Amino acid sequence: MSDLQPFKLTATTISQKVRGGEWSVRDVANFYIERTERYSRDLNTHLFWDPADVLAQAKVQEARLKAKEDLPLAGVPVLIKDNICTRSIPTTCASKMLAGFRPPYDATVIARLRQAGAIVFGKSNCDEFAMGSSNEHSAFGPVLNPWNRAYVPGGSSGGSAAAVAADLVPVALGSDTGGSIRQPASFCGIAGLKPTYGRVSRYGLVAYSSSLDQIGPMARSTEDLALLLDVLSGHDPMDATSRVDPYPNVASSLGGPVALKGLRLGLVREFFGPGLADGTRAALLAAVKLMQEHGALVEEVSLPTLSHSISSYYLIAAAEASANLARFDGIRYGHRTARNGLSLKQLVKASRSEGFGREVKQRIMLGTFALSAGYYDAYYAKAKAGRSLIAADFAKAFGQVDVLVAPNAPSVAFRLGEKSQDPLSMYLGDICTLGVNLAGLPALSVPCGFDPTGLPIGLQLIAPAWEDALLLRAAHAYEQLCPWTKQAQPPL
Amino acid sequence: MIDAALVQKVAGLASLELSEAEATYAVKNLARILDFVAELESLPEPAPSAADEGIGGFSRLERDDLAQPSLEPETAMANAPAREGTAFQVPRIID
Repeated sequence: MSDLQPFKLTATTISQKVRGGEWSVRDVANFYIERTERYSRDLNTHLFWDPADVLAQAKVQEARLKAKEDLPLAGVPVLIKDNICTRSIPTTCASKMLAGFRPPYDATVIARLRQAGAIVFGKSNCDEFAMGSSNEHSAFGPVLNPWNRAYVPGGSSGGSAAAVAADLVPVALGSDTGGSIRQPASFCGIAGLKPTYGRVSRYGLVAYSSSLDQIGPMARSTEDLALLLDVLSGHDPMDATSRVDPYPNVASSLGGPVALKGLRLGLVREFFGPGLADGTRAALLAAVKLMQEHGALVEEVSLPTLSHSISSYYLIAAAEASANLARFDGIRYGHRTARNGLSLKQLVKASRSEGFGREVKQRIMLGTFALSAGYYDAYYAKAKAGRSLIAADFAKAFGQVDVLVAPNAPSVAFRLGEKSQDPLSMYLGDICTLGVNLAGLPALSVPCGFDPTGLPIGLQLIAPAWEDALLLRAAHAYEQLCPWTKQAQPPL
Repeated sequence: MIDAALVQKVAGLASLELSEAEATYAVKNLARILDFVAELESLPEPAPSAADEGIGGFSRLERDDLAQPSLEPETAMANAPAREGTAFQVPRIID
């Protein structure tokens, strides 16, 4: 169909045109099947997808449309990060440990997407068990950044980010434990939202760090982020941390630049120091100036305890990971060693040691150490103290301003291999995103320009807990003034 | 503080076995990471916080203690690497 053009479609448009009868679900599916076949292998974005299954789903959704069901995501293809369970479709967390695993159930977010008329378009590559910031820790090889294939796409939701950036799907799901939606969205020039902790069910998300993990949407527009958030939000009896209160519709509340009038923006002073790359600083300050010209009130705020976020995060996340990943034992599911003659204990050890990659083992070891007798008070308890202070600092800042402004990373995407041999240097790059997870806040990245080498830059906005709608209205207002994704496309 | 013996002890607690190369890597990198996180030492002991009670301050829900539908045995067993009937197969437990 002639009006199905690469980089012109959004989930919002697709849903409207499909519901209006202008496009069929099948035509949209075929358009994206062709793009995925052409580009996904080179970029290494997909771990599993099945065109026959996509077309079978299209048929089901067409029938539901004919039956006049209300489908807010009618015919919208959604790529799913491979740490989210999809019934009968392989879910590996990009790990040898789960090679061949087919979950017996859909995660709640998948059930909600299907119910809303979406097409589950496949599973995206990511860092193993979502542990990484570059997508180089996948057992199935790194994802390449579509803007420059010598660079990382960010992580851990790198496959989802790169696929949306290359328009292999209009939208995708990622998960964000310490920045894993926002940083790859920023590195790939798309929008990505980490909702407030508790807004989106984690049932069926393979747990990494349960007090930090949150599923969220990735898209090429904030309007699409809102459309997906409305479908994903809501209480789930299967997740004890999901909030019961209902949420008003966000997509219909997005206004234009008028949302900036009187909006109090706070520049987080600690993130604009000498460690921030010049190109990133210039793009962020230009975005802030533009918002100021349209009525936003800008001031600096200080969150001094953010200096503790890397230490607190890596201890808490590793501690929770060491407990969560204890379930992988080679007995009930997942990889089992082929070695014979082992005792039960030896079998579990051998299976885990063969199945997990280096970074996962490292974090399990760090977490086990931090929780072990004699070290708990010195490490884990102190990390919790850091977390409390950071949450208090954010609360204080939100007494002064409505939305905080920050980078997503100290620089644009880095070269493949540049940091992969030095875990601490990789961790240090996460400084701009970790505090949000420790405090359970909503935050997003929206494109705000390119550095001199042509790599994208993202603007991070952060709001108080449960103010996801305010966050999206602010980002949408900026996007209306400066729609970067409409102005430039990656060179495929 | 971190040395090969401690790394092997922690690996044992984590049900992992490390090759010599992996153990060397772990000694080097865990030491660097622990040096870095030592900056937390100056922090006071934490008071009970929102982070302990559930972020966002919303209350936890309890449900009635009633049986709920769950997976059929065949479905639950479908991913087992080794099984016998409806049982997961494991090595001998009693030596």
